[in-house]
Amino acid sequence: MKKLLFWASAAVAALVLGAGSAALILKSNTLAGGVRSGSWGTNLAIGSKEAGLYTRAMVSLYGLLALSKEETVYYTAGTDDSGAPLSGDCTYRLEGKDLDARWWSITAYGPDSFLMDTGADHYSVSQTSIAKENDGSFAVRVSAKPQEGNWLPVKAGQRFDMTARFYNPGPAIYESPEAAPLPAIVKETCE
Amino acid sequence: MKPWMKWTLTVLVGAVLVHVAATWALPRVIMNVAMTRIGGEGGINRFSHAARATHEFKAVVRPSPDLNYSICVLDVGAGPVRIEAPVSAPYTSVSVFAANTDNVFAQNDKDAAADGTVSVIVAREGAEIAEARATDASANVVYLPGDKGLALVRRVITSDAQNAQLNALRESSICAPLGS
Repeated sequence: MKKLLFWASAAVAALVLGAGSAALILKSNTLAGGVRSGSWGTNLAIGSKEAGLYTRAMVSLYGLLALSKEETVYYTAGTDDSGAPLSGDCTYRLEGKDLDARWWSITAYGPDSFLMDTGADHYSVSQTSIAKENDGSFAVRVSAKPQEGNWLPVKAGQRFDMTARFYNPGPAIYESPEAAPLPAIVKETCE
Repeated sequence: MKPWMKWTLTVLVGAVLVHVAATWALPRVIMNVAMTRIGGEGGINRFSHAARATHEFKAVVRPSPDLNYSICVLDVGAGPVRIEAPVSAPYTSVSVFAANTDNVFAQNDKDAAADGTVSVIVAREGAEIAEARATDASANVVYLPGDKGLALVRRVITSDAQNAQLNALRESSICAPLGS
C-alpha cells in the first residue's frame, strides 16, 4: 500500500508539473518571439523543418498552417510603442509606409487568436485597401469606434493583437529582420 | 537514498518526460484535429473551398480575412496525389504541410507555369514516383514524411467584385489521386 501511494503520488505530481510547465511556457510565449522591430516581433523559424519543439507547438496554437519564411514573414504586435498591452478601450494610430513585400496586410485578432465580432464589415487593412498620402505614407486608426479614413476595427473591453503578413518579403527583411520598417503604434486616447 | 529523495527524483524525471512529450505531441494532435474536421466536411484528396473568413470562422486560428482559401486533406498512403491550381493576381500560393505542421512546400503565382497554374505531385517519402512524374514532367514533386498532410491554396481577394473570378478558379482546381 505504501509503495502504491509512493508511485501514484509521484506519477500525479510528474504529470501536473510536466504538463503545467509546458502550458505555462506556451502560454507566456507567442509567435512574436525571436526578433523584434519596434513593437513588432517575428520568429523566422515558423513553418520550417528547422523549427524547434516549442516553435512547432506555438505555431499549432497561434498560427496553424503558417507559411515558412521563404514565402511569407509574419510580425505580431501585442503592445503599443510605450510597451502597454493593446486594449479595445483605446484608440491607436498606426503610422507607416508600404511594407517591404509583394503584397501585405495587417489584421487584428482577439485574445483567442480569432477575428473579433466588432460589428464592422472588415477585419484588416492591406496593400489593396489602404488609402495613402502622396508620399506613400499612411495612417490607420485602430479603434472600437468607427473612424474617418483608414480604420482597423477592434472590440471594446478586450485585449487584441495585430499580425502583419509580408507575402514575398524584400531581401532586406531577411538580411535585417530587426530593422524591418513596420508601422509605429501610438496610443491616442482611452475610455 | 532516502525515500523523499527518491520520490523527488522520480517526480523530476517524470515531469521532464511529460513536458517534452506534451510539447512534441501538441502540434500533431492539433493538426490531426484540423485535418479530421476539414476532411470530415470536404473529404480526403479533394479540395474544399472555405467561405471568406469572418469572426464566425473558428476552424483554424488566425485566418486571414483577405484570402480565399481552398484546402485539401491529403492521404498519400495509397499512392501519390496530384494538385493543380490556377493562380490570380495580386498573390496566390499553393502550399503543402506535413502532419507535424511543417510547411514542406510553397510556390506562388510569380513562379507558376506559363499556363498560370501551379502543379504539384505529393507522395510518401520513399515512394516510387517515376510513373507519376511521367504524367506531368513539369510538376513539382513533394514528399511527406507520413501518409497524411494538407494542401492549402491562398488567393488574395481584392474586392467583392472578384468573387466570381475566384470561384471559377477554385472550381477548376484539382486535388485528386494521381491517375483518377
